[in-house]
Amino acid sequence: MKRFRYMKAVSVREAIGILAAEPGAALMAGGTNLVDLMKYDVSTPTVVVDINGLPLHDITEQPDGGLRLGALVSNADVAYDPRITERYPLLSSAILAGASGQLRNMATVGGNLLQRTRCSYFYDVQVRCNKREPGSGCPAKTGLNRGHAILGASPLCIATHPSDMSSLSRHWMQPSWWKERVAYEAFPSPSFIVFRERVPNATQPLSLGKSFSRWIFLPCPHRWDTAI
Amino acid sequence: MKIRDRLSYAFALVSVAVLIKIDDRIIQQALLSLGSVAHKAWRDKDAETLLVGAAPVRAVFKRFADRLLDSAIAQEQNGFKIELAHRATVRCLEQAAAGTPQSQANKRIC
Repeated sequence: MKRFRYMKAVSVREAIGILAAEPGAALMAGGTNLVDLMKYDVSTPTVVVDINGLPLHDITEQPDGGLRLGALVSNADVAYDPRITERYPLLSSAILAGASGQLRNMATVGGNLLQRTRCSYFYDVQVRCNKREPGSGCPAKTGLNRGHAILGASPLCIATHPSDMSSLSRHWMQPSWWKERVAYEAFPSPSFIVFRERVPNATQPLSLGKSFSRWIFLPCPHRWDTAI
Repeated sequence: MKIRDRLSYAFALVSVAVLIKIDDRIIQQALLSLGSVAHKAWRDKDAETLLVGAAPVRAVFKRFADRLLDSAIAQEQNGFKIELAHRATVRCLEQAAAGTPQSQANKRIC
């Protein structure tokens, strides 16, 4: 693991400021994916910004009958919340299908959507990978690809998204991005996870280090018209 | 529904999430996404139009799965995922239409 600095952010504004000022900064919530990536030298942040102190740990009722999940609510707290199990049982079920009890206690819903692929070539820095190093190549195309993509893949990358919960991001879950350049204005993003065929290393609508998601919105379960 | 090599601590080979609304034996609305088949959960709103207004029967679900997967492309080792995704889609729609979703938390083998 490469050396890195560690700091705690005390506000969303501070966290975004650090991301904007330091290209090598990485936010850490549960750390269940980031720390693994750092151990394998796939992710080599210069500074790890611990955001667990930010006030994003609550599940809040919304005026439209929906719920707002703070990005830092743990997977376990979402899956076992009575409002989720009664009104969004599919979300609870999807979360409980993944990982282990220990991991779900640490992992956050924001981090769940932002986790990286488990393609074994992405994790092995000794081999080429377009998602890690654009233009270097894709050994998965001719290698071990039993679990890889069958839809929407490109000649450059056939990796899949690993999250079970993310299936709901195409139905109910509406994460909102904070965009540093537009003065912290929140905007909803129906395509929270993107794939640019020519740039497989980009996985979010904004460049990494410029984006921040605070909330995930669940529309009223009886309002089908508000589902994305 | 999550299909994987073992029941715990494994990533999905294919997963399916379905929301379906049925009144008077007619599908009023349906949303379906597949996991672990693409760079993000895969949803095809055009294909979903095949479900709306139709009866919740296996033949309809199969036609939907045909459309959902008609652009699927296999690599050398993962061709089985296309058939697996097709069957899982039909099965999950049948479970949802019957109101008998499969619990992902209960891992007992009955």
